[in-house]
Amino acid sequence: MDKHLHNIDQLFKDGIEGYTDPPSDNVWSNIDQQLDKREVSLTRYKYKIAKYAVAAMALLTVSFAMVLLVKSKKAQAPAVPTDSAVVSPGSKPSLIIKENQPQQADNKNSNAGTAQKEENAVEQNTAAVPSKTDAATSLPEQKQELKKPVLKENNVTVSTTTNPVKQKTIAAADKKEKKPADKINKENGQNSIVVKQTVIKENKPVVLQGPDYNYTITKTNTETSLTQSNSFTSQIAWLNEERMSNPYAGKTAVPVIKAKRFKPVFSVAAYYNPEHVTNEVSEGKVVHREDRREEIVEGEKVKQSFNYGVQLSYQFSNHWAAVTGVGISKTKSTILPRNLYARPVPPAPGQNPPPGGDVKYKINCTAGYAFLPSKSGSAPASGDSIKALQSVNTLTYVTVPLGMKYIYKINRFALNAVAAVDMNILTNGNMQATVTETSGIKTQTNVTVQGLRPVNFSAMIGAGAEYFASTRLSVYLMPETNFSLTTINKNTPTQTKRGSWGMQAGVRFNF
Amino acid sequence: MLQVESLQQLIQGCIKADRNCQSLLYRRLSPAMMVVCLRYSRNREEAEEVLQEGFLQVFKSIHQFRGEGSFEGWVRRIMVNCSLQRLRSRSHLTPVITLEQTKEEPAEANIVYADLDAKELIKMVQTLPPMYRAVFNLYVFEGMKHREIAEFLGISEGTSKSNLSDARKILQSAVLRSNIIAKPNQI
Repeated sequence: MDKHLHNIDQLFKDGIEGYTDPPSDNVWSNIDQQLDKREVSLTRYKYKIAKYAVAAMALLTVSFAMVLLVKSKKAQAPAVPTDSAVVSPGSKPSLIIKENQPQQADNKNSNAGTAQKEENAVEQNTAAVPSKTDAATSLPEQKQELKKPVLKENNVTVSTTTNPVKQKTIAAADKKEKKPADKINKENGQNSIVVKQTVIKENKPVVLQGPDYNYTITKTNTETSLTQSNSFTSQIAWLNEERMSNPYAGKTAVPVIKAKRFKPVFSVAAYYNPEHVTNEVSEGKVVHREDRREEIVEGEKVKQSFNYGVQLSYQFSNHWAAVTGVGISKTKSTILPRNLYARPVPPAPGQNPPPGGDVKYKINCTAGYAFLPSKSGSAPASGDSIKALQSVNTLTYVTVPLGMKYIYKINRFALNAVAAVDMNILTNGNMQATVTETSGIKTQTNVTVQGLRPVNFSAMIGAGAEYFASTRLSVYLMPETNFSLTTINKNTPTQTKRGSWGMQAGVRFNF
Repeated sequence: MLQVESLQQLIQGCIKADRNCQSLLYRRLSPAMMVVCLRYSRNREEAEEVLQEGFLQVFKSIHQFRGEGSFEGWVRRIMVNCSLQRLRSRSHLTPVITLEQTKEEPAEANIVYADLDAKELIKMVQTLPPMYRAVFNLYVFEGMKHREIAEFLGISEGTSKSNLSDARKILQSAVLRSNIIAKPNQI
């Protein structure tokens, strides 16, 4: 029994093993279609991932920028007093410093008390610092008084000399006094300086910000000094004039608080951008079997793609710049060996086809098609075939972008985001094909690809980082994606929209 | 048999989703794999569907092939898995034992088998109930032990043995019925 069973096993094993049975052709067709669908879904999946990656990157960038901004503000904090002082607009003010008695911690004195201490302070320091009367003296004299402002205690009063009667000392840390600055401002009128905080701590300068000038009071353990600086470039001329006579002008080491006017910046960058091409190919004008999308797409690979050029940028505000330039974009694709068929050449517009028609071998690619020139006396008949070895398709465009750039500068770094529309002007579209004649001779021909649009448009978006090696020179790196707004060809077996991912690297010179 | 170098190139091409390489690989392996699918299927149409699913799975998972062992064997395992998966999904893997089949007498001893057409043999295997077909194929063609088959199909080892025995009987009967046996007692 066992032997019989064994024999049955052996019978089937010997009879079937090694036997082959080719499946029907439509199995591969179905697999091919399924693979196409999978590629599409994979591409969608990749785009989805990329979308999330870009969103995550944007979120991280914003977070990073926020952190840097907060840190930057914190770093600036010691130089900027928390309580500001204002110089009201008007004629060039001159200043005096008046010393007061120290403000006791437990002394929550009233205005009257403060006034009393003020009087005392004036009286005690009459020899060393200018009095109210001194404040009304001429400018050279005031400068002389400012030359060595010795501050024995903590309180300082700053005021203009043009309205000495209204000069008033503000009690330091007198929290009971409500908005003393406003009161004084109203009383003093146009030329007053209002000081909310008059306690000058050692090594913590107080900046008095005015519309025309900044005044900085700095106290060290030995002395107190006053420096003056311009806050607006429009006043440079006057300030220079002042510097000639005023040894204390222009010596400020404290950053200007605000009111910086933006100076437009023009820059030129040279860049190189290697790309990964992701073309979107759809069915176009199909006449013959070889015109089918699958036939064309199968066996065509982008070998190399890159662009390089010059980018011009005009930064017209703190964060925005207009971008343009010119670039060269080059894409090289290889087409695996395939059979070419002789097909009638469509007559040029306005021309009649020759008698019997002009028949040439046609080679298709995703960019378009080309007819290979036939040798004289050996014109093929329609439907004849010939074997083409590996062919190379090269497309070259001159690209002119026009877009906007957002710049967020943090110290030596800047985060950039660019969106632009590119005009792509076709300069060269050719196909280098090598065919094998029936005699076995290989012939290489270089023909122009037909069906390409002379101009097509694409959009580019990118975001990256820039490092300023100096005020004029910077380098940047920017991942970018480019996608066609229009197809690159028309009336061709396939309709192709070009897409790409790239990493733009460049060097920028700021004028 | 595939040449190692060209096969490696094809595998590399398939990993890169090169359609040309996928096509070439399919053309090389599909005739043999079609027979595998035919053995596990009821008919040719079903076998072609399994073959299609199997090759899609091959192209999807080809990057997982580590180069250990035969690539053809790896593809074959995928085909077998796809075939069994299909049987499971369609609830075909339930033993169907008819009284006539179990009562069928085994073939005579010392039978000598004449030249048998592979197509006929495959058709006979296709006539087996799904579970018998699966067990018979796994045992005879994949060389699996009953314990492995039991684990693979989620049945007991005894069931596997029983199903194999029944399958053999059915096939012997089929061989007898088809009059493709030579005269007995001739070796």
